[in-house]
Amino acid sequence: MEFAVQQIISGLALGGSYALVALGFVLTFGVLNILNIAHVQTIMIAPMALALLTAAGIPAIVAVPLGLLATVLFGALVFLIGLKPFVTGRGRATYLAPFIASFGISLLVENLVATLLGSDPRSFPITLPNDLWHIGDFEIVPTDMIALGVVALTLVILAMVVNRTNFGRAMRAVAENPDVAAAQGISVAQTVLITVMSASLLGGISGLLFAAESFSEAPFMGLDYGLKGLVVMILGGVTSPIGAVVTGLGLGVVESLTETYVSSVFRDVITFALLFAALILRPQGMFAGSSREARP
Amino acid sequence: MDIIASILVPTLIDAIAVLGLYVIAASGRLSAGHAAFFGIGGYASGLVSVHLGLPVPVSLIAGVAFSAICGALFALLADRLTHWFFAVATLALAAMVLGLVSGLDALGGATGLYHIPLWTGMTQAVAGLAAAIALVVWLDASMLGRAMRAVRDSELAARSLAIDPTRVRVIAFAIGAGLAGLAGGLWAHSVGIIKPSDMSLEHSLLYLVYLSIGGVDLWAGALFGTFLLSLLPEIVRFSGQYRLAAFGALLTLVMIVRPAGLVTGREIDRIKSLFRGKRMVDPSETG
Repeated sequence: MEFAVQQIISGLALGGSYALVALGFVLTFGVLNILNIAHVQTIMIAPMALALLTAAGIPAIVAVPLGLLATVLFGALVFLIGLKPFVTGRGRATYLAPFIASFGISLLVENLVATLLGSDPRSFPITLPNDLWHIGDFEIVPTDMIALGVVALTLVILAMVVNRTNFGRAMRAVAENPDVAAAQGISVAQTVLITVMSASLLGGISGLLFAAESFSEAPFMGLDYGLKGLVVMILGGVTSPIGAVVTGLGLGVVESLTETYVSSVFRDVITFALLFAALILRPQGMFAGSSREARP
Repeated sequence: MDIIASILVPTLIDAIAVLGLYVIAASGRLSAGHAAFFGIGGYASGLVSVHLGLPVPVSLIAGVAFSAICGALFALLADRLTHWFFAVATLALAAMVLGLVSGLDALGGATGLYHIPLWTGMTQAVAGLAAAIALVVWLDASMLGRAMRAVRDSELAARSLAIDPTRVRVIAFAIGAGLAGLAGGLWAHSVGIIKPSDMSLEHSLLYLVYLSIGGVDLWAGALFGTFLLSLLPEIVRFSGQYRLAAFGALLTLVMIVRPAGLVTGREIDRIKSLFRGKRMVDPSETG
């Protein structure tokens, strides 16, 4: 019993990170109406930047914010160079063009990083407390608790920003209808850019958590984790932040329990099969929101 | 000669798979996990010839049929998903099939299936591609092909013409998966081994890159993209990850400048008009 609870806690820690990735997708899709595959690479940028910075002798307390900053700048760059033409320019006609272009950016970035830094996995550069915490009969992995804490804090801040600030209101207005938002005096371009940067920050945080939980990072980690974040976003109802969080946590727990009690070899197969079944039974997602036609 | 064949045979085989992707795109769908069907066809064909000892042409047909059935089932189940969500479902399917194949010992696990009889050479690859082109050309001109494009352009209008969009899309996906299965079978019989890395996500993305850069409007675009992007790097000796990074950059650029790809109907019309010696009227300009 204690063992099962411990597995559920690790599952929640992993699932929290999936939720952050999915939230990044929800935010960008909300304001852009483009499914930005290149977002998966924000997961990889932060840990790889962290590896470079710590190798240069910069202490972790400085390197972590710098790595996240690199991710945010990366996200902004991807948007300005690769996606903005589709929002304003000639590519507007087909819905597939921006989707395929974002695939192209993703391919470019991961292979560029792999060429420059080597494609082999490396270990997470920061040493985290490794001794298990004993609480009653439970043995808790400290990394899991740190991850859960980070996820909870991020979610609270995100909820405050989206619900309580002017920027949050502007973002929701743009997601609802960009033309009307512009008529209310909201700078749509600026709001979209800041939203994309916030989404990249979420991706960066989740990337650091994935790397810390698995003790490893690699240039090709983005698509592996990002694909699950994408499916969480779709299952959560595409436009629903709460759906993304609940589905993400659920997926993490399912994965953790599958790995322990069913099969570690077939973990991903079972995960995708479950997701697939859910997608077919409830194509509008588990928590379909009410806004906009943008849903599967 | 051998070096030329070793470059050309995989390219010809890839072109068959990309033609399959073209058929799927013609029905308004996008498969981001197309290599899954390449793998399904390859494994099915390999298993039939290794374990049942049947001649290669029979195993190839079995591979195509199995791949097409899998494709039809998938398309039917996922038909409620629209555009990019469908594409993400194909990506998830590819990840699932890949995990299944790498984990099953009966299929050789991560090392793959060995001792598949060698059969595919230059002649067989060319014949396979010719058959695929013939099928696609016939399809484009047929009632079904027109129904596919009608569904792609407007599902509502297609419905009003008594076209069943689900049926058309499922058939298109089955044909596309079948062509990928043919490519996989030919590949398995050309190197004697099929392994999980043959159906990796990277391969799926490469097919998408070939088609998107070549052009989704015409079957010639699929061929052009495949041959250009497979042969050019061989000629300029561009390798590995640089190549993929360059493809990524090129893909983004083409999507921004020419969202329909490099080869579109307009170019073909222009070339035709050169030979006829009269000026074509561009339909998009006359509005």
